[in-house]
Amino acid sequence: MRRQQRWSRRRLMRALEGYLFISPWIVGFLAFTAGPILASLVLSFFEWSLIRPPRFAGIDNYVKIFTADPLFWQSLKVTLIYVVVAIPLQLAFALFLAILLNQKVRLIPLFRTIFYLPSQVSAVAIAVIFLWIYHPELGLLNELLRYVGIKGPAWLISERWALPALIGMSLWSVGGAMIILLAGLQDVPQHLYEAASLDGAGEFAKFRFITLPMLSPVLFFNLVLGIIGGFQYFTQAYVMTRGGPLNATLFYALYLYLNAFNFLKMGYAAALAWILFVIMIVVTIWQLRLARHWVYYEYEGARR
Amino acid sequence: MDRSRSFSSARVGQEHMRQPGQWGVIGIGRAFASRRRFELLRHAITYLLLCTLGFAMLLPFLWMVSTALKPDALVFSIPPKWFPRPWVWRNFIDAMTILGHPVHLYARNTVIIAVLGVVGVAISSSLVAFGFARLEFPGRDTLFLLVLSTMMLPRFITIVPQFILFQKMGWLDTFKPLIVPYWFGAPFHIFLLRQFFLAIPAELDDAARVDGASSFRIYLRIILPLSKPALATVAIFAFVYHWNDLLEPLIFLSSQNNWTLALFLASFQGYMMEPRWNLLMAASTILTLPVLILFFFAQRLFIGGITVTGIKG
Amino acid sequence: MNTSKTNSSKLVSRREFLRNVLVTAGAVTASALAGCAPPVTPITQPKAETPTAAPTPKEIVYAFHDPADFRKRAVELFNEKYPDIKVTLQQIPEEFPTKIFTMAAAGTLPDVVRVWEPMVLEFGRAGQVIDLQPMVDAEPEFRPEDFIESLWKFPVIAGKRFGIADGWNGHLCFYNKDLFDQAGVPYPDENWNWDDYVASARKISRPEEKIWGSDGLFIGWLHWSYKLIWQNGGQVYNEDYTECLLDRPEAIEAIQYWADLLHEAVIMPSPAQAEGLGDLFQSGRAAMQRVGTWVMGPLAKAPFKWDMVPEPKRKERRTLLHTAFNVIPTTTKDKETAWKWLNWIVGPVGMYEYVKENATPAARRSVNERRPWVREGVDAHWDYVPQAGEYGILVPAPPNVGEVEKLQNDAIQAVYLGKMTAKEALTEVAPKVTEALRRQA
Repeated sequence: MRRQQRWSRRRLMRALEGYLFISPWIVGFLAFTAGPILASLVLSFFEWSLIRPPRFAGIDNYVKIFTADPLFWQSLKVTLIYVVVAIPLQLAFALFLAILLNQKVRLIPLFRTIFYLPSQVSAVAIAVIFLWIYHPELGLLNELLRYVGIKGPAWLISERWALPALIGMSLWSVGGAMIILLAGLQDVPQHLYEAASLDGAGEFAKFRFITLPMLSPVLFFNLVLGIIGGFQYFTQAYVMTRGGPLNATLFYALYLYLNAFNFLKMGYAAALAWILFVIMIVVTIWQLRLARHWVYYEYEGARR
Repeated sequence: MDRSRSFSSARVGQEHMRQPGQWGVIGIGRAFASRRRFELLRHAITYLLLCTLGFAMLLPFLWMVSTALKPDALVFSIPPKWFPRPWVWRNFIDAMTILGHPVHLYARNTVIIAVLGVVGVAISSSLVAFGFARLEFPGRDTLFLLVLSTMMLPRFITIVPQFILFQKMGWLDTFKPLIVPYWFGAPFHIFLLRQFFLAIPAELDDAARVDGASSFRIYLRIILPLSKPALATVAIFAFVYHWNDLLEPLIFLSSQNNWTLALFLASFQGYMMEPRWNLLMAASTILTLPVLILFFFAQRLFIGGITVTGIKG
Repeated sequence: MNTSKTNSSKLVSRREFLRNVLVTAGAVTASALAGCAPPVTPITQPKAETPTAAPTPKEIVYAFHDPADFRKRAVELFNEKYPDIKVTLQQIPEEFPTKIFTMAAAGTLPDVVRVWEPMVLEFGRAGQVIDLQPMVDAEPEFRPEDFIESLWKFPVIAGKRFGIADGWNGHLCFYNKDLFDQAGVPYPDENWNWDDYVASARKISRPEEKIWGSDGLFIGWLHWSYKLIWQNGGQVYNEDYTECLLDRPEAIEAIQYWADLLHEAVIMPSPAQAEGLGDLFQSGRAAMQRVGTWVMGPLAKAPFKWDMVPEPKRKERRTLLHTAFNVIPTTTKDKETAWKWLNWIVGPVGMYEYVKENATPAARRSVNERRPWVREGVDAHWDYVPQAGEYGILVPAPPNVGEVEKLQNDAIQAVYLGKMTAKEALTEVAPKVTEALRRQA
């Protein structure tokens, strides 16, 4: 009985410690983040042009978005395709690069820097180079396709191929994810591989049964953040296509930006943002649930 | 749920070691010589991949440098010339001087913001991440979801209310809005560190707790030392973020003396009447170099340094 | 034209609203801040609130988009006349509308702002900027008739003047003399028309060698297509911006005329050929380019001989003008001082300092007599530059401009990309634009 009480007091202490540890974030959240976030929620029920007094609009914005805005559906479609196709591709590519850069060969620090480089090059330089790569007649890509006897499409000015072109281009920006995965790879205890080798495990088996599970925490991180970032993908479409041709690359965040600062419909944009927010939170909760099935944590694993 | 755990956890850890020969079928004992040949082939393929992919990855940067070296007349040439003649090294000097901006001041501002931001975000995020990863308290998972959720509203939506907030606080045109919020943890870094902290075995805490160590001591003496690579990763990401970010300095700063380097770069694009692509690219190249040099030399800190290897078991 | 200020009783005032949002929605925030916030000293507002008796130094913040060094000399000259007024230059190098509208939302716009064409009327209609007409009228030396008419009349609604222009750019046709000479084609003269343009271009074009008579169409640049409509005698909107006239025959015919040439891809590259190639004219691969006078700067260094001529006409001589207007936000603390600065930069001396640095024509005819746009050492018909101001039209600024232009842009792109005919696309979009115009008005 007394022992039980002491136990629960210790748990209480531990819980208090927990709150203490996360208190910096709570303070920062209340001071800097919560207000603007709630303000944007409130605004989504207003009509506000930024330069005129706001007018209460009830749920008008939401009703309009769902019933009378074809561009909302178009931008949602474009963004969903991007998230579903580009994010797994990026993750796979980043993992592939991380494994490649985890090899013990010479000059590897140089190669690591080179692979990280594109995420540092100015968006304008990237845009210029890809405008040239994707050029329908003189571009590098269609030149290569011509060698294998394929007549390449018009890429960025083709309604059908502009989105795939942007998705392909996004593979150049996986440097960040690659670094995190590389750091994760380096954390995999070598003795596991050695033990597996002694058991006669092949490369694939080692990858499947050691590397992947040990890497799962950072893979999960990259996946969740990739999805959150993918839903808000903006810069390259803004610089390269401005949403065109004919809205084929009108990403959700781009459409939202246009509404906020170009159409001066801030309330409407806020409503768009909150719809996106709900989608993202649902996807993230789903990801957190799924994570229980495939993400392996050394800490939790030992606990249970 | 238990069944599903067997997907991963059961196959890692110690378990496979207790089943010798399980993988014997896959790895048929090879002769030593064929193994060497295999290693050689593996090296060759690795280099081939590194070089071809590396070249593709290098293209944008090469283009940037090549444009930076072009004389004005060649900037528009079609097809684009990769090797301009003559190389105009002067462009690098012009890029820094032609607008008559106090670039050294911008560099100082950027470094102040980046360094204070990095230190603050690393300390605070690691504390918060420790709480989320290694302590149990009611509402933890919900609060963690809340942390993640703050990343889910596009910045364009919250920036106007934020601007008004900082205006009311009298923080506009100071570095405070660019630094202070990051001292309270940033969701990206909290999440990243949490993932790394969760990968550290629990036995270490338990042993320390038996010895009467407090949570803070465990954080400071066990978790942090083991997480140097993760902390270095956070540091470089935070540094790069502050170095490159345009939106926040643009919105929250106004006096030119408070500008950051990213604003300086943007002012080349603002040169609507006469876009000087070569100078813009020269300036971009110069501003990219510090990050690259930092990355090149700091990488051993966050990749391939200390790991939890050896401590375990 | 009725502005939306009629039922203001229903509206919450902006400041009140924002305070409510921030305080009620973020009550927690406010209380958390109370502890750690330093005393409030807003940067943008002059600190001195002392009685007016003491001659406190006056301060003005001037915000604009282009490089600040263009303005430094003007400030020096200004201070010779007004030594007690400190002018702080605030360049907003990127995302200009984002920052300006954010500041407007917070009620902290600088004292004088140089805004783009649509913004001046947007701000004017929303009551964000003051009426300058009384101040102009009170200046005996101002001489409004010195201004180019279209630039002077543009920022006015119902007798209220919301801004004053300084420099501007107009579209002309620039041509590569070398390519004309090689093909033995005579240089164009100012009385030419579209058919002359196309005929010259046909003689010069060698598409298989990637040499074109004409630059391609700027398919994503809506305003570029406006001038084609104007040259064909058409209009985009009616006089008071309550109706879109893109479905009229003049507009349809104009767009179709050029779309056909674009699809034929003989005198100009198709979008697929031109996309991503950069500037065909600058690189010497297109003999003619119809674009704003800002290209004179880069062209001064071009490795070929070039000249300029007014754009060809169809039914009327028209072209597109771009400018910016200087405005005084209603939130300024000191209207008199703000006006002193504004009056100076649009005055003969201040305006000359700006356009000379920028090498553009000025809004004042008297300033243009000094030919500030002429590039030394280049032999060209420089006099065509200021003339464009007399027959050109400024980018229109209807209410709800962002949204209505998005609709039009999508429609015209569909024509240029060969998805629809001009008749289909424009008859479909015009009523939608009209509806969007009326929604806001």
